[in-house]
Amino acid sequence: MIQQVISLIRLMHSETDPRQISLGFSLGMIPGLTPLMSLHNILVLLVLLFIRANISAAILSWAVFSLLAFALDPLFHRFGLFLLTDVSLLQGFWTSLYNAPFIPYTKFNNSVLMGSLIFSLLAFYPVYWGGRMMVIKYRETFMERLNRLKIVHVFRASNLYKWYSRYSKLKGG
Amino acid sequence: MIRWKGLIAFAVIVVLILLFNLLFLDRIIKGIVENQASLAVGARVDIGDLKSSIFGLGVEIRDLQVTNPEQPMKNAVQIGSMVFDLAASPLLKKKVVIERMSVKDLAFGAPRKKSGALPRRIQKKLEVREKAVDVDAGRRFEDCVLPDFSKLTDLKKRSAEELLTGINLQSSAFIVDYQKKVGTVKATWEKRLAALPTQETIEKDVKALQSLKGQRPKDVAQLPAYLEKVNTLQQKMKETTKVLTDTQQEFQREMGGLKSSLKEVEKLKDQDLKTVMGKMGIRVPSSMDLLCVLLGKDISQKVNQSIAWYRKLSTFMPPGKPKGEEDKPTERPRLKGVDVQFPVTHGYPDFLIELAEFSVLPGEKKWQQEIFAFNRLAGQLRGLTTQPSLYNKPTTFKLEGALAGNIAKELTISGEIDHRTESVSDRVGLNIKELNIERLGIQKKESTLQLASGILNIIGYLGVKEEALNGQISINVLNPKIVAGTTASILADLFKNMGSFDVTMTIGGTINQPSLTLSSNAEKTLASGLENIIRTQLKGIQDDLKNMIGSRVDKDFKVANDETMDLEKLIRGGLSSRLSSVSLIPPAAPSKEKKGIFQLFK
Repeated sequence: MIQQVISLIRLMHSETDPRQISLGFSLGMIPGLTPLMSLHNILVLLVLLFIRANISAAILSWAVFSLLAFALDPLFHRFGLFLLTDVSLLQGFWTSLYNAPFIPYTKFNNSVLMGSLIFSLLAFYPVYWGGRMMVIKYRETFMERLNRLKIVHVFRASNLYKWYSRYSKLKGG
Repeated sequence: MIRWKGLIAFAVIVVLILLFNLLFLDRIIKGIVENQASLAVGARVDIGDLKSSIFGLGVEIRDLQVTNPEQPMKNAVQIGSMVFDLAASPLLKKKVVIERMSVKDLAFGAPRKKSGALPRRIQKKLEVREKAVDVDAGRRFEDCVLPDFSKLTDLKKRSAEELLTGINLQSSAFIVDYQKKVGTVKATWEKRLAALPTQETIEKDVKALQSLKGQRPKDVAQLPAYLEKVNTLQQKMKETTKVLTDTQQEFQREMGGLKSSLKEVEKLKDQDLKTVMGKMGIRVPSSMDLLCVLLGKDISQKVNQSIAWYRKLSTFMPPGKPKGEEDKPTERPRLKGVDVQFPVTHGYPDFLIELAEFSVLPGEKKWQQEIFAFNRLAGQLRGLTTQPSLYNKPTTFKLEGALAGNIAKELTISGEIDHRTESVSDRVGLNIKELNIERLGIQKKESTLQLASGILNIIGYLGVKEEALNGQISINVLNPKIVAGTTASILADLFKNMGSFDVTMTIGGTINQPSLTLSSNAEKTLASGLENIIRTQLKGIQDDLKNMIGSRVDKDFKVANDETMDLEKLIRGGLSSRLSSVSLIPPAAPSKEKKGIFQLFK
């Protein structure tokens, strides 16, 4: 995990496209917020590996949102239950999904899964857009200031940093 | 933007997951089945071996052991092998439909090598879940015990007075209370008597009326005034008579109540005798107690177990609800959410066994004795499902066979479970011919009374209509040999020449509160035999105690009785003297009516 954080910091400082970083972060949010052992997460994995999204950002995002999900779980449950039981317009749709092949294996009828999945899908674009803006903003303003900080200079001169740099080069990073 | 290496990585990951599943699929399924079944049963379910065939869509289970939740060292059911053929298309919709299942080698009550009790943590979880399904049926039968008759020998050495030392007799306490009550009644009635017109007042009024009648005016003009006077006095006397009569009746009623309550003393004396005998551990059992210890206990245990299993089964095949009424989502722990069930519009229920075939071929497997194992079995079960209303067919089953080791020549279990609608209608029938108790070899530890050998013919049924239970189990016991334990050795003679007899247990009440009643044709014979034995054994202990209680109570009883008589004499005397004075009132004066006036001039 530490390695992923360091990779992300390096990414932020590299020439990597901000869209890739924020896309990875947004995609990682989905398995983070929803129950991990669900079929839709295989699709997320496929998208993550197939398109050029940043995997380190995705892993970091998954870890962060998993913690967040623990706190948000009661809300997801209520939201999911509302969508599954209280929206009369959707009842026919859910019933046909329930009776369709393969779909029941997605556990869509579970309140937490439904609530968290819909929430993460709704939050996907704002997180993607917000992430991209943050990376751009960081590179434009904070990165320069950060590089000028004494503590960063001290850290770069430290043995730990040197050791890590050597290790990364050996790994081919 | 496309990363082809990533796609390969994804394919590798998916293939690895699939390979892992394929390699360990059997273990995974085995684990899931064991866990889920254990939670459902409330005790360990073990599978010896499980083999699945993905392409053939089949599962084979060997050596399935379902622990008896009440006896963790025994298996409720043990099955040699089970082979399932699954239907392919329903699986796509996450529905498990077993088209054909074959079950071989079936045994009940086989001992386990390791305890099948669930860990305390899971048990607690189950207790919470199953709190409402705590079957409390037939506790009376399950708790029935015989007294320790060996105590009788010690008691014979002690005197009745010694035995009664320190015992508060209910009959004595009652008499003390009764005397207080008589005192209160006496005081009340004395007050009431004082408030009534005295004999002198009544006599004075009578005399006044008599003298008035002699002073009849000859002048017609004075007649109305005269009549008015007579009638007023007469009305007063009438009212006095009514008050006295009512009071007398009320007093008689109260006295009747008092006297009849005094009769309670005799009952209380008997009760005291029973209490004293009970405290000394010489409770005299009834013939039904004997039958209860002999057979009733076991039957009620089996009935209770059957009801408990039925309840477990019912939770998995809930009755159909009226149209429009949907199942409420089941609450699940945090982070798990709830699974909302939507109506299944077409196709199969979530779980269905279309056909299960049971078979045991003679001599195929050797079972040890003392268990209910089949050495011949054939039968079918059809339509076992978790959604009976959707399947729209009742579950039916019929199994016929014989028990291994010649324990029973023939055993038939058949029934129908119909949960299609809310009005549940289920019935299970049982028929066991020639069950050999000796071969079954059940040895009860420290049993006071035991049916050591005999041939049983059992026929019975259990029906459930909505919540109401009805059923009957009739057992015909042939050539019984009953052994009495050390504490009940005095009963040995009672069963020495006992011939065949019948025992019937009737089941009623509801699923939540079943009621069981026991009856037998041996009841009278046992009762008289038991009475003789007890009488001989007690050799006057009971009579001595009775006399001693009598001597303590009878003296006070006589005093109380005398006080009652005195009270009656006093109050009744007072009332009678007044009433006799009232009876001297002359006949009514003529009224103002025309007829009366004419009569006056006659």
